[in-house]
Amino acid sequence: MKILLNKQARTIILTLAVFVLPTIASAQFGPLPDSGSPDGPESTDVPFDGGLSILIAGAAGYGIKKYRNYKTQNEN
Amino acid sequence: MIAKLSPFYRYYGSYLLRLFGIFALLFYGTSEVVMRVVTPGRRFYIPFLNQYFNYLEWLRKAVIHLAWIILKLLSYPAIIEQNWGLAIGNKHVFMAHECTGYGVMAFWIAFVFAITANKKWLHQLKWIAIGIAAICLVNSLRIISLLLTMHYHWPALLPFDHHTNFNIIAYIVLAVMMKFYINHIEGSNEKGIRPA
Repeated sequence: MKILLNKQARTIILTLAVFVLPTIASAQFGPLPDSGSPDGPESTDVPFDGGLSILIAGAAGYGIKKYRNYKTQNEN
Repeated sequence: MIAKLSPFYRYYGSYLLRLFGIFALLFYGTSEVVMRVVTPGRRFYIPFLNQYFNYLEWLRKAVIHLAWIILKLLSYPAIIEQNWGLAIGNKHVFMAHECTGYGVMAFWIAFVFAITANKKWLHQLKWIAIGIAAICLVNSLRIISLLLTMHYHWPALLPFDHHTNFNIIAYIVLAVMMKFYINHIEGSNEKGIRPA
């Protein structure tokens, strides 16, 4: 069977899976409380860390770009 | 043994190790250790640390007070509710410790440490402080937007609830902030100021 992914790509995917998936799994929250009445008392809580996994994935991706720059500089 | 690893593993591995190591230390250290020792009624509660080392409370107060000041400047009758919430009339926003954005701050600190070398700590400290201040401001604006939306019954612009919409906007702002910092670092490298 033809190998579709090289070693580096597999490492990246595995690393992201190990670190990012638990963050996604623990970042879910239930429905917000809502009185339903437009004039009645209404309150909500405001958790802020739900999108952390996206930022982490972005930072991990940026590391690959940095490595490419580093490799190009070394080759020149 | 490390020298035998390919350059990819040495370079990218050390970057990821710094990023995830510092993030995990700060994020899980806060959620699993600090939160337990500073919350009354929890098993490992330590009153001294709650009084003098409760940075989650400092963050919460900073975000709420900043939001309150902005609302007051805009002439809204906003009220701070015992340092854990903000209200306009009968619309309330509650801030638990999870709402202070400590996870995003942990990420920012880890990111700054990961993309810069360890030596110039003053540069890192400056950017960590700028990032944390910006995250607090974004969080305050998010809370103001949420409160005003509840107050005026504005319809949602995106197909989610208001809370999710404002979180999406806040994360876009954070991504722009990251990009700005990356450009700054790469610009500095080109000028030979700092090898990352």
